[in-house]
Amino acid sequence: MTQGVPGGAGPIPAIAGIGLRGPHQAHFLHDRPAAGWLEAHSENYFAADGIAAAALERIRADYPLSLHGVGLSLGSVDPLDAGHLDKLARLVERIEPGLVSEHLSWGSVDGRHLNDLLPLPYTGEALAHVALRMEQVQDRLGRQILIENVSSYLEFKGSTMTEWEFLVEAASRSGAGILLDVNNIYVNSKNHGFEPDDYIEAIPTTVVGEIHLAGHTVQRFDEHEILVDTHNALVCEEVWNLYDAAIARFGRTPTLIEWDSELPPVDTLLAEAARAEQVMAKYDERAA
Amino acid sequence: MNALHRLQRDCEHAFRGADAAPLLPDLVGKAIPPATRIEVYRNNAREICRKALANSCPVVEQLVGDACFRSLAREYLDAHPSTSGDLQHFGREFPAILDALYSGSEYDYLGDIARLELAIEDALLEPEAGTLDLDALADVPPDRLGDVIFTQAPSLRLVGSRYPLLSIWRAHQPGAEESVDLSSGAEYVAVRRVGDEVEMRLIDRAAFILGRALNGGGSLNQVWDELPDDVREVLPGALTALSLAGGLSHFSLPES
Repeated sequence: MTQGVPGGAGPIPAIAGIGLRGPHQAHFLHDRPAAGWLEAHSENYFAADGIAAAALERIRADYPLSLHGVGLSLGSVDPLDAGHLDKLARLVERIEPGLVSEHLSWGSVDGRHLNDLLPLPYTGEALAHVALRMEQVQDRLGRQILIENVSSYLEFKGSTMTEWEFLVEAASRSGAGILLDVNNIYVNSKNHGFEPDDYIEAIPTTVVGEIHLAGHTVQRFDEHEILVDTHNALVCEEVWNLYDAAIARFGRTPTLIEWDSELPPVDTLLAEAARAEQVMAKYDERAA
Repeated sequence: MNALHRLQRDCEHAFRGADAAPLLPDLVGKAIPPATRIEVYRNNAREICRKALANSCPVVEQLVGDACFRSLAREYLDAHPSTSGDLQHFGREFPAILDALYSGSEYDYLGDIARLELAIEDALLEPEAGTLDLDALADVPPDRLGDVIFTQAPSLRLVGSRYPLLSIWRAHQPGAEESVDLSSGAEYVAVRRVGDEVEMRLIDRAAFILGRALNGGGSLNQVWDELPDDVREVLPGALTALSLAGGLSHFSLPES
């Protein structure tokens, strides 16, 4: 095994890792680059007999691994997809990931899926609904999940609380942990006009089990600019600064570099992970 | 219908490109108009669909070009909204859409290319299986050969076209330089998983038809009636060709 690669057993270490994507899979299988840990999208490995799930099992032997779902549609009013949840449960049982996470969002209604991570209204009705479903998922999986805040490009007039209040309360009611996506906080702060530091400060220090960092894109619509969570670029300086504030508050936390489109070489992702490590190391020294 | 259901339904309609008017009163305006914000989600919906189809059918994308493929993806999304949170089989109706659009045109073969690309993707989701050695049939009494039921490899997909399907596909792989004569005739392809790869072998028409017929799990006697005369005449050879292409994994002989 390459020096610096921790073995696959046990929880996700409080260091920086990177997302595992299809084009990089062979590199991880054969060359074993020194990533701290990996995170895979659960749905890509649902075919139990397929080559992808077998490859993930082999990778799991060498790297701590987290499973990150994108398709459970926790906030939908449609019934929870039992087939989807069964596939996730079987994958979790097989891979024994260090963490399992999903999104605080919805993606389908009346059986039609948009396969997107759509925002919920921050209302009591939506909160009760999504928290109950998070509980159901945890009951089925027999373990805690982490729930991730998503990027959004619109807000609902009916919301009666802030996004961070909704996130914290959903986690509290369901017993889930929080996967805090710092890029999504920054994107939403620009799109909706709030102070991102207020968001970070509102999150209890004990519930954050993982942090995501990613790049975004500024898209122009006529004279308007909207930040879109495209996962196709380096983490921007503003998001690094916000990550610094997050680590100052939460301490050393498993941190993932996400990159999904226009995928660069693994070394680029590892360099971003190394920068996250530097931030965490800075606060290690202050805590010592 | 509760408030959350109504809101999600209005969002889905608006994000899919239908009337956004019912949703607009529910959205905060602030500096950016709600209609502009909805446009982001419309773009996302189209892009998610395009990427899913492009991942499944990269050669179709190459053949028609980026702009046309985006248009096709949009048409597909309208006709076949996703019904799952898992996009693994999202493109399964794409060949039919291509057939409907391009049948009789210079791109008549596009639907078949999409079928081949989806078959490749499907095969990788299935388990690997052993290959049947037809010599094992030697122990079967000759008068019972027609009762033999052949089991196909779970990953086997048979794709045929009146165009040189596999040649077109190969000509659009990285580094390929060969050109294809579209009038060079039909090709029939047996696709299956071998290890971590997909193997594609050309088979003849008789093996293709026999393989399709056996796919339902019937014995040779049971599928006999659906085979054309010219396939019946070469049945042993077709069976051998199918076996050599790895299409048969084992056989069983029901008790008489």
